[in-house]
Amino acid sequence: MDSIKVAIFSVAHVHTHTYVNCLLANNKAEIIGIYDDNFDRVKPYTEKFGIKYYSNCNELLEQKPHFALVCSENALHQQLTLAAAAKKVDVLCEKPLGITKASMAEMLKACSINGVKLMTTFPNRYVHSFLNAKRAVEEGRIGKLIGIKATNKGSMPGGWFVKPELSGGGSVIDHTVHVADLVNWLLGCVPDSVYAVCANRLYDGISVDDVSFVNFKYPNGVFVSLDSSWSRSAAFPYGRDLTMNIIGTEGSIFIDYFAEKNQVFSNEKSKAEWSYYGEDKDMMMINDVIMSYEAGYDFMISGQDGYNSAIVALAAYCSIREGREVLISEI
Amino acid sequence: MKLALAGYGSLAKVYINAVEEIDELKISAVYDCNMEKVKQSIKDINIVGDYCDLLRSDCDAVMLCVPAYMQHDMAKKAADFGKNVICQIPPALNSHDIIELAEYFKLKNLRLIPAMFDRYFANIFDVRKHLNNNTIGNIGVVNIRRYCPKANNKEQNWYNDFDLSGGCIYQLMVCDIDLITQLFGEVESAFGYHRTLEGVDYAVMTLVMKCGVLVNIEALFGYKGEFSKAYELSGSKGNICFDSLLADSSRIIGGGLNSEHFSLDCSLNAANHNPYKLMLIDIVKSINMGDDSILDIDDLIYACRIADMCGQSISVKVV
Repeated sequence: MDSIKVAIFSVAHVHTHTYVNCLLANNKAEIIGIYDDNFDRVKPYTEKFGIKYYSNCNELLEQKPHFALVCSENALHQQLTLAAAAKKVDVLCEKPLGITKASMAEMLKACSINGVKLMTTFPNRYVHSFLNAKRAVEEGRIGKLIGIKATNKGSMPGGWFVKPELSGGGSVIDHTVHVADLVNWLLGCVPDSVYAVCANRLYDGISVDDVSFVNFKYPNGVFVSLDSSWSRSAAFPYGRDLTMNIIGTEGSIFIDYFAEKNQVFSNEKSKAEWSYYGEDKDMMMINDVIMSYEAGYDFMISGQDGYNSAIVALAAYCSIREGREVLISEI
Repeated sequence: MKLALAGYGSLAKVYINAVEEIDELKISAVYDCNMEKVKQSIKDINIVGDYCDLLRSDCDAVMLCVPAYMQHDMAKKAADFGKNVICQIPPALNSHDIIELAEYFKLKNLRLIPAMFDRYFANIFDVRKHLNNNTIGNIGVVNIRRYCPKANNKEQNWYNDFDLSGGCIYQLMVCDIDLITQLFGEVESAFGYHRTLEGVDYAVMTLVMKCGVLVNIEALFGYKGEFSKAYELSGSKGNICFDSLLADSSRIIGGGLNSEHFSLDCSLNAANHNPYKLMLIDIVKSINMGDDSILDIDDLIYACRIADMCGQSISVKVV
């Protein structure tokens, strides 16, 4: 099979650099161009990797990519996905899928009508610790599930992430979707109610939430309590965090994605650091997407999955506005 | 000051050891329904097999070291004999009964002192120091948890019956709510989930404090691992993390250990820092000076009122 042609739609998201490196490392993948309305931020990619720049996404779509990798600001996911779908090009869209229910519904509809695949980037589903946990739960090793405590903390990303018109919110929308997707996948269903709190406590001069708890409950009674804060200080040895403690009647499963690390103490650095050596989930996800074209299987994660997790974050903001537990069906 | 102990289980032994280190305090008598068991363990202390005999004895306070479900009635009886009482957490199995008990003592002008020894652990003193020094800046978010396995000996079986022990909310979560309110003041709003399934009792609560700090408290009873406590405080200038399983400076693996101290043995490693001793010294001070603000029963009632909101699955604005 010829190479799988990939169009990068915007480099706004911090994950773009990693994805580009993953695609460049895959000898079956070919990045045919990058579209972005801001050439300055594309420059590092054109100069270092010689990737062609497009100032118009439709011109890039004319080059017949297999899929468009949408890494724009969250608010632009809809527009870029609709453009790709109209040209019958599949879409791999950065999370969250969208920042409104209507925009996400339109994305799903457009992809469906045009017969193109839509996937949300949830690389955590490829991680062995989560796969093992899912298997253990399905085998009944911890009995009946009761509840889950999760954390998906990180450092404050700044830039467009703290401009709500582009991001859709702060820590809640940035960090809720990963855990919501993992639990939806684990349980095979979606939550029906959400209660959340948030505040701006840690960073001056930003207009979005930097600390937050999002609680959600599934129809089978399993509840999740998530710390989705941007609470990793600059002094902390590592900027990211993803943990899950799954409590069952016969046992529990504790997952710490970044536990596979060396603790590094160097006179060259002003603080201790964790050197993560665990698996590269982004690489696994990108390789799987490329392989899906070769082997002819569907994307592992759907646009609907992206919708089902983003709606939890949107419900969380609704709960915060109204100061009460809200039903997903109300959103 | 003379302290009479009611109940001789693992907790009583911890207190007896602590009292030995306090000059101005002595154990005047011990009551247990199984006198012979007590006699095999302790000498030189008056041992009685009738609770009323203990209450008739010359003492300044009675410390209850009996199961949670027995404390309410035994505390009341002690009050009828004119005794101050030091009770364990929880002294009753619902906040209504605790409030009624507190009122009973107030009417008799006696002290009912909750043994909130968690406040006196070395790691909590250290947290206070950092908060006072503003080491990690403006606090934004706190996660705190307490996981406890089932009791697996006959003497402590009552813990496993949540109707007798109060379950994870009254045995575990109340202690952390108290710590949080000690550190950050009153609660603005509370929301929680609580489920009990096949002997496992699990609750998670989200609090918004009046000062603006967001708090998440987890409590798990029936955990299959060992007892542990953990927390993380995140501020504008840094983070403070603690996990009791990582804070043991000495651990014995094997060696014929039993699980008798399943809920008591953590964070005791700090040399010369015995939280039970420090609490007892405060209690002596409190009774001698008539200072109700030290280990105030109203603090416990407040924590229980917050805890009662867990499981309602609704946001409750706390007045």
